[in-house]
Amino acid sequence: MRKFVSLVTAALCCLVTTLSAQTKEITGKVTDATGNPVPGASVRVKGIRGGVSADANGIFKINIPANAILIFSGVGLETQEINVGNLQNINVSLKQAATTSMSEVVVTALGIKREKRQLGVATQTISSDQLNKSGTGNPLSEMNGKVSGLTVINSAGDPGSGTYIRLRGVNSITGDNQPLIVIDGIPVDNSINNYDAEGNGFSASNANGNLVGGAQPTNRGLDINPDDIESVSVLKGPSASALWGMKGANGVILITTKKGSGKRGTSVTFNSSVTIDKISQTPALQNQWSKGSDGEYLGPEIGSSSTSWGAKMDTLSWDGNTSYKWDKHGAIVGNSDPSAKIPVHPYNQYDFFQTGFTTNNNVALSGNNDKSTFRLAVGNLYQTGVIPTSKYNKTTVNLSGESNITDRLHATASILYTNSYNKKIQQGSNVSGIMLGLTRTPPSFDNSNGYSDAAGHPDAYIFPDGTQRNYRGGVGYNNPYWTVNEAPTTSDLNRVLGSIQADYRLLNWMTLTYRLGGDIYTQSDKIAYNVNDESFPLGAVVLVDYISTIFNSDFIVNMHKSFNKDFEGSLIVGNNFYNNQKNTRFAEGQQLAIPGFLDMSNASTYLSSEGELRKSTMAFYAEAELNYKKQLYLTLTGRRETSSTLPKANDVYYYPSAALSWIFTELPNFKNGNIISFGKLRASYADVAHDPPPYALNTPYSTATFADGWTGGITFPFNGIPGYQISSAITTVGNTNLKPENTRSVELGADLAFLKNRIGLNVTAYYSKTTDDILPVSLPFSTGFGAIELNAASLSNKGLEVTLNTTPVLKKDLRWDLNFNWSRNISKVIQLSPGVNELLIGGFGGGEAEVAAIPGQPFGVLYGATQIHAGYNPKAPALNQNNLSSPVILNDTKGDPGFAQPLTDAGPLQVIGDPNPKWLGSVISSLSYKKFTFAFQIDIRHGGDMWNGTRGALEQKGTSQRTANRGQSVTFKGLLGHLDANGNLVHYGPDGVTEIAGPGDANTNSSVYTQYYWQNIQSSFGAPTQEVDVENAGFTRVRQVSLSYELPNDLFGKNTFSRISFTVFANNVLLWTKYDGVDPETSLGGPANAQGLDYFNNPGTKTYGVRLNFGL
Amino acid sequence: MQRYKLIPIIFAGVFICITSCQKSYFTNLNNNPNVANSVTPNLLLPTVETGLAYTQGGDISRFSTLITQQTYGAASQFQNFYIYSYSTGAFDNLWADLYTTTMENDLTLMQSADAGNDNAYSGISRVLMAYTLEMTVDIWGDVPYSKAFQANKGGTLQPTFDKAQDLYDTVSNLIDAGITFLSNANAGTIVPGGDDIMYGGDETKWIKFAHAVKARLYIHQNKGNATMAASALTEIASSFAANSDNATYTFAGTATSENPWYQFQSSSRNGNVLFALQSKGVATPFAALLTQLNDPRYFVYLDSANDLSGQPAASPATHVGGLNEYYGGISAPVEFITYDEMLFAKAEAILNSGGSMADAQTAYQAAITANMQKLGVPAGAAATYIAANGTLPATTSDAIAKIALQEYIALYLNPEAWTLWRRTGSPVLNPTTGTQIPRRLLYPANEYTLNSANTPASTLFTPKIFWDN
Repeated sequence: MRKFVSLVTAALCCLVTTLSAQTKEITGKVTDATGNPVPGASVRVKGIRGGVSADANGIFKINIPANAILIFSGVGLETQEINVGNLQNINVSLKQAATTSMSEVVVTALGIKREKRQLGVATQTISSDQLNKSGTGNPLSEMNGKVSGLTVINSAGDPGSGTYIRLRGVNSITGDNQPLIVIDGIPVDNSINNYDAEGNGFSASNANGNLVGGAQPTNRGLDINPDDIESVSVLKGPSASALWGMKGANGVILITTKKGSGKRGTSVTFNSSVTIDKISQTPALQNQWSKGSDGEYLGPEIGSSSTSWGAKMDTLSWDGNTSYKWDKHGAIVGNSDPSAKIPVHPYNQYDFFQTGFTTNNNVALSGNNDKSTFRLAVGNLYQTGVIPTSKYNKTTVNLSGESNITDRLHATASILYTNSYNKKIQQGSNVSGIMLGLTRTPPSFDNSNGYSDAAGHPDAYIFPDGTQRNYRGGVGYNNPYWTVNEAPTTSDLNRVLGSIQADYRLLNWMTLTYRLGGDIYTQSDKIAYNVNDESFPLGAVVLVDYISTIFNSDFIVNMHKSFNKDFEGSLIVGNNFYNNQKNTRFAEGQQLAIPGFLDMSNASTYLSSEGELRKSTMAFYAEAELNYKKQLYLTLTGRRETSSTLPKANDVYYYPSAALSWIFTELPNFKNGNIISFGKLRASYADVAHDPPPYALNTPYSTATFADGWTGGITFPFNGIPGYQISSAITTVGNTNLKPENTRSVELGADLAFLKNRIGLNVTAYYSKTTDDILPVSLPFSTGFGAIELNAASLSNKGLEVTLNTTPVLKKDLRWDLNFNWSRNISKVIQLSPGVNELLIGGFGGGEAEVAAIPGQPFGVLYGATQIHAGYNPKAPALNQNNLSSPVILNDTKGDPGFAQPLTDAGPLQVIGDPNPKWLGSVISSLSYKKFTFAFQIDIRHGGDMWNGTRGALEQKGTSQRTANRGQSVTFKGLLGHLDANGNLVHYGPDGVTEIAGPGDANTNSSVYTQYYWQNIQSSFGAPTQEVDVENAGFTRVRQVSLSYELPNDLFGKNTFSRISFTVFANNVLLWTKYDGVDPETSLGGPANAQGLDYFNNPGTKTYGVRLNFGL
Repeated sequence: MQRYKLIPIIFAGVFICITSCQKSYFTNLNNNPNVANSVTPNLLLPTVETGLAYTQGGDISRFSTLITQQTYGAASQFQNFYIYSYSTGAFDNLWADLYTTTMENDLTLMQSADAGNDNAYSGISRVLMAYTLEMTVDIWGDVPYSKAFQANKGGTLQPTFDKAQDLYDTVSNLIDAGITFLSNANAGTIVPGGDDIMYGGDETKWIKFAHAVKARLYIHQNKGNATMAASALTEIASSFAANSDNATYTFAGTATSENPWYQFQSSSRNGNVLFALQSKGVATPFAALLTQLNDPRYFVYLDSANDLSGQPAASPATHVGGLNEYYGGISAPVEFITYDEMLFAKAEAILNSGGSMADAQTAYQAAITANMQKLGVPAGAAATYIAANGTLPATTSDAIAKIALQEYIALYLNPEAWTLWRRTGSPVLNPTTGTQIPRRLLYPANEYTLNSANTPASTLFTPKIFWDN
């Protein structure tokens, strides 16, 4: 076995293992304060990378050079250094670290390990045992609630759906605001590769994408298996990430993968979890009123009728005609009709959803010999979703090895391979979207046609002639069962991600490191629509391949020197080269000749295109650190970077950062203090630049294509005739004068520990300001173009982050950890571009609900038309014409259909909501008693608005539960008034004719909840106001609750299983929210900057599962 | 110590690597390999023609026919549009398609053709620009032109709005210059052929179209103005002589090149706009008019697909009605200006310039005949119809109203019908809500938001277009 280990390691590193004569072997045992062994404890030589891990019984064996210092560390334990001297056998007892150990080692920029105590910036670390708890296999969503200042939004509960992450605020209005993800020192791809065939095409394919339809996009961060992660360090502000350069401007998430450990030879660990998913929250639907309009039932054959404003269900009966193709109970007639047989009962549309099922299995084989370690792990996640046929299957293989080739040369290599298959479901503003067709279906129509498993019965959704069976006679919106079968979207991924690294200790105070890494993947998507799909009635097949390649090279010289007893310094100098190329191959075939044959060869018209996005950067950087008596630390960094996306004249940039930290508890007065056990104050400043996207300098010609928002539009070639355009509504004019945008930030913080580290408090306050933000500034179309690239905008963020870690109980058999995270960020758009008052970030635009950047407002506010309020003043500047907090005006024009109802008369466009939460908080508790551990996590999002467009549309369609009150009378609260011929707010005087300026008295006129009211006054669907559907989407949820039991390790006799544990857990089981739709943790736009829109988003899920871990 | 010697070697190696990674490497990397940096006029002309046809046959036709009640807004946004409930944002896409897809690309075509001395393209691009600009003015009045289209030329990003009357002069000048270029069309290295989807490169037809565009300028202003009427007659005489001259764009009928009304009807929007029957079984005003006149064009315009209960329509009275094949088919044409419109204009101009009622009636009957021939109405049915409707009443105003009524029927789905109604008041239409019918569209939200300093205030009724009375 030892030979096998060596072979694996040698093959990995492409290096030959040779022995060095100067080493000696040390053995020993690592225990905790209570005397229990610490399995997996890390043992390494100070100044040398790598090391070994203790086996299941805490036993370790390591080869070390003479006079080495050994560093022992373990999760939740304080790190200890021991000068080996002449010792051969070392038994170490590590102190319990309570919750806030400052001697903890964290991985910082460029993969350099530092003690947490010396850092001048805010970082937070998540260890492996906190990840992979939910069974979802999604590393980004696992971080939810665990780091203060980290926003994590899951787009939907679909298998493989995207997760949006953001640290602190938004630094760039239209650029990517997600933090850089770095795995073992290599920046990796977290792109969204998505094509919305029905609507926005590729424009949905990035962080500033505006996706409103299509299938829920995935971000590629999903490819990582959480089980392969040893720890995650979150470097929050730009100052923490200054060394990562332009890419790290939004913070960095540093992932360190697991390396070999275990006893000499090999060990095996296995974990397996099984979970079931249930739908969490759905929009409430009425079940009393049938399809139709004005109280009259209109059958499914009448396609022009799309609403449920028909007769009351209890006045209707089925005629029992079994040959009636639209319903097995027969056609619907009035109760008094002679053919009436069976009283109509409402169908429950949500029967559509099923129980999702997930298995997650991971096996890892690891081992070490004298100088080398390896780990080989295989993981598989197999998930079927709550939507029939939706599926995600991911297999990962991770192979890594480390070797101390000589006492000066250390080599590391690791490869992660991922293969995944995702069957996705159409969503959103999309006539093929699941929720759109499903929730608009009247209670009088059965999408399933009587089958309990209708997704498997074509009879439910397709007639023998190939036309669609839906509630609108085959037109309108897809029957959801049709969508899952006849409009499949699939995505196949193969990804290899890996790095090799060599560290050579040239001198005792100087180490050279070279690291080369790559991230290469191919994602092949197929989106198909059978003939008679509502999106593509003639049928269509779209094939898109995304081929992405990242190469990253770092050469780092690491120097460390003690000058005298008091001064110590280190200097890092490095060079980085980064290259990213992303190719897209697109082909679309329309008009399928043979229905049901969803193959490209079956199409009659073809469109195709290719894309090649290329970018390279090169940088030199340096970091100098000086400390005085391990009490005062000063860190300075500088980076000179060249980017290919900048114009030649402006393509080199320099940026600095500085951090100062003072551990005041090192002062003699604090020594042996019983109250304050550790205290540090820190301050930092950083200046980071961000380059433009590729190809932003020119305005080229492209193949002509245009659309008007109502129809699919035209795409060239036209019957074989090519056509090019320089402009369309979405063309952005290039700019050869671009320079990098710039983010300056300051951060102040304190890290305190009290009562022998039983209480740890970290507080960080920050302010950052981005200037010269590059964005496509919207242009009036009369300039001939839609936008122009400019260094125009500026915006700022300020915020506060607090983490409080406590260990209220710490006894031999009982331990309770209780941790709190809290953060608040306030963003502000300072300016866009001269004369520009509003910029669409995402959503519908054109006066319909959108997410916008507006000067003076927080980033990404909801923008749309309002009702008329008492403070309405049409002469005021745009955005300030209405005071939304003033009472609503109720129409006093007798005879108007909207008499005594809120006045919606084309209200002005204004800020109608702010999706940014007021604060985010979480409580994480873990209580262990002997072998039992009970843990839970509660997440709170306080405030934050959402435009509930789903509700608005369902009110217009008459399926919303809220419309069940039709016919009831109501007296709305508000003031009387209307708009006069000049558009000013007036009200009628006592004579009922004279118009008097301003609002009148309080309304006393009664009104009735009518179809007119729900369609034209209250709903934001196709009606003049969006304000009415803005809701508070704050929530409190039990994110996770789990109970584990660790079996005694001698249960099956010694030396069989070293560790067995069994966990039952549940995710998202309890949710408290006022939000009146799907789970408020949702995003129509997916993992993109535009958050806060819900328009027929696919619902979220709650999960119940069991997990088994064991090691051999 | 050997190791110390390594240090300068390593640094030297790194330095060489870096200096060899010259700047040209970075610069070249930023050239997008998937786009073209220059194109010839024959690659722009199809774009401009198609953009114009798609815009007119799509948004403009939908908005204008809801106002003229040739169509009926039954559901979703179109239900609101029908009762004049518009937000400024509703016109963003239309404005964009006119200014970017159509006019900016046309201007690029014009400049490229002028630079290469490709006279035919220089001429065609001017005629298309003149037509588009005139239609834009007829919708909004004052609009940007002289300071527009500067975004890629380093000019203003907030164009001022030109006076509508001045833009009519601009249209006239574009036509004159266009005709001059077209009269010397063979100069230049490339001449249009198959890339000219409208006329296949036939310069004489382009010249006729140019005169038709100019004729519209005069006819719009000919009410009570004999000089304008006379100028109109001059231009009409040089314009179309037969239906084969019509300025028409025909769609390819492939999945990515479908007629815009067909696209609308075959999408989920089907049912938002109705053509023959309103939702409760009442005929739309237009269908009622055709029924009342016993017009043989009823089943040319409107199909007999389904009645309210889903059964084949037994009679016009019960059919919900889609658009029939001629204007609603996948490869249906979008008509810009046609021979019959010129004949109707001729009849009107004869009366306004003091000509005889008999001459006017001849032109009027010829107009109806030309229209029915174009639509494939059998000659017998056309003759019967003319016998019943072909006589003009005695007074000029009544006669013009009758001419305009028939022209309104002939201009089915054509936005010119709205202009016709605004300047003649014929046919008589009842507002769907309130007391007024829109006489213009609102300036789009896009200009109000991004060019607020220059964009005039507007309602659906004020200010009127200068020729509107």
